[in-house]
Amino acid sequence: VSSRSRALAWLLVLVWFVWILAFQGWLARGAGFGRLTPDLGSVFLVSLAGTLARRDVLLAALVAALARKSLSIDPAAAILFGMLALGGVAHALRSVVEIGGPFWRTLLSCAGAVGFSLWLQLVRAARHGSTGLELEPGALAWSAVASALVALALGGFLVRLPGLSPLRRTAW
Amino acid sequence: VAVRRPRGILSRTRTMFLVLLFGLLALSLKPFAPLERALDLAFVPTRVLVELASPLGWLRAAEVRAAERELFASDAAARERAERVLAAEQRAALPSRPELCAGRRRVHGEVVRRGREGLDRVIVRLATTDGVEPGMPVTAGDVFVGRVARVEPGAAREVTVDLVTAADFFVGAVQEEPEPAGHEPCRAVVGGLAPRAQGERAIHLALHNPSRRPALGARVVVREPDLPGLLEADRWSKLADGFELGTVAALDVGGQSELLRLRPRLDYEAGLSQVVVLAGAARGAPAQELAIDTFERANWLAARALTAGDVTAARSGRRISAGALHGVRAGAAVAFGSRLIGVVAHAGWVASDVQHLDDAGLRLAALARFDGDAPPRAVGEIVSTGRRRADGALEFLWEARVALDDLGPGELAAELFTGSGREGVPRGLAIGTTSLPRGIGTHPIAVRPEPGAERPRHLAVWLGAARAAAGEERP
Repeated sequence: VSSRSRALAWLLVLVWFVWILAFQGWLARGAGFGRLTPDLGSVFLVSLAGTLARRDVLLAALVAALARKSLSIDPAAAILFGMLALGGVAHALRSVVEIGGPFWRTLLSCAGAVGFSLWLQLVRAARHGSTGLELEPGALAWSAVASALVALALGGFLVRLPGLSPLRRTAW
Repeated sequence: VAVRRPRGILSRTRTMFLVLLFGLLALSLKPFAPLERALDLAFVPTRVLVELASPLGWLRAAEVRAAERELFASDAAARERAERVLAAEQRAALPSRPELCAGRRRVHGEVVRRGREGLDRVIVRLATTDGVEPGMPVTAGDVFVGRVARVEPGAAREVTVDLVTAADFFVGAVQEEPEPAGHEPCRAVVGGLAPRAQGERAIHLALHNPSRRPALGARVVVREPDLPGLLEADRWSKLADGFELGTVAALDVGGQSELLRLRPRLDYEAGLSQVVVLAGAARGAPAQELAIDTFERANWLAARALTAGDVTAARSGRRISAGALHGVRAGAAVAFGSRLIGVVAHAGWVASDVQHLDDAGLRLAALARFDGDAPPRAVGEIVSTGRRRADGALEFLWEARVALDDLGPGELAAELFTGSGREGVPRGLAIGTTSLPRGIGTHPIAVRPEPGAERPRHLAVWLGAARAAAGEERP
């Protein structure tokens, strides 16, 4: 695969991330899913982590952070940490289990959605104090379930989005 | 003996990755401005990336335009109402009793922020600093607030004020009423905070060395002693005579003992807004008032909303098309006309993150206008806890440190505006209508904003504070 087509593929990964996250935002507000909205960004990152070459996983996490910050008011450092941590876990797990498979993809997406949400809540509390911030375990659980279901049902489809084939690993 | 590094566990790449993660963890929890600015540079491309998502915004374009038209149509009236409220608040900051005005030059000012040294100092922007000196008394209405500690250099016309709540602050006091016949009035020294009972929220001023036991509920006012050869720094102290400090209250400390203290009429922690510096003697001179500049066009920067909201429902906010390079600072108000939309949480280089009013944790200083003739009152800080799903009302926690008993019985219908005391948020921007409980304590309140107030895409960011800090004159 030429470096040019890889670069173009990475650009498309970035575009897909932005669109997927924008759709997530629309689900949360426009479609009224509210706190039950799945974390599509984490699902897409985990799905990609299972299909990219291992060396590309952290780069995907960086791209995910860039896309998420485009649409989010959370601090850039917190988003970057969250995405890199999720990418790092996926990277580490790749040597032990097949995270591209439905079970691990679902489990990791679910854990990623919960972990990322809790992390951002912790950052807000640390920066602005905890007054007014309440953890809603019910909403968190539903969001995690929604993320898991999306990962299970659509994770395989997400990695086959147009333009990503140059980045998919060709050998196991 | 050659030491072999365990490959795959502590490789250089992994170590660097872990160091990077640890650094980001620390930066996330404890922001460090220079590093955040550097990181912002890496995220500058997000300003372009966000435009990729704009097609989703087209879905609601008609709705947004309609909301903007509706808000714009009613804005002139809303602005006039806000200006009337601000003018009434300024008038209420002046002494109401003629004897408190006599022989005193009054310079009006607005509390713009807390001092860096702690809660017992505030920074006040004055109508003029000409003739203002350290030691001059500062008041709000008929209430004593503190003294000018120093006049800040620069064109911002700011002074630092020591509040009467400071532990090392002392002012002479006398019980004004009721005075038993044939008795000398109780004299005392007031300054600093009195101890609180366990779980008590309200603050009280400490009462030191009373000449006799004052009557409970009696009003205590400033009466500086007439000492020959007053120190240079104290030569303005007599100007404060007659201004109220509070009413006498007792705290039961057990063993048939009680601690006498003063219940103040002001919330010194979050409720200071408009004040007056008593700047020397003057006969018949009118008070010098600050211009109400909230709605001056020059103090605002036009910006466009880049997103309709956040990617998660846990946050409520949006990114806007102006950043630090355009003069935007963290904490700046974002408005549509005279309505407050939110506050800049972080100013990147070319775009900023704005918290909406229903983003949990957002703090605002509030000014309340009550139904009837009562003057507007700074009610202190409100903290957002989100939005009520049932009717869309904004939910806030309001910590009332001073009771509103004098305004009548029951809950008080009020219109909330932004108050003074938070740098970057000018006074007089509309928040919504609510009902305020009268008692002291932490109250959840529901504020009803104007319908559609959070929808506009064409916004304005307050630059007044940034201009003042740069030495530019605010109109």
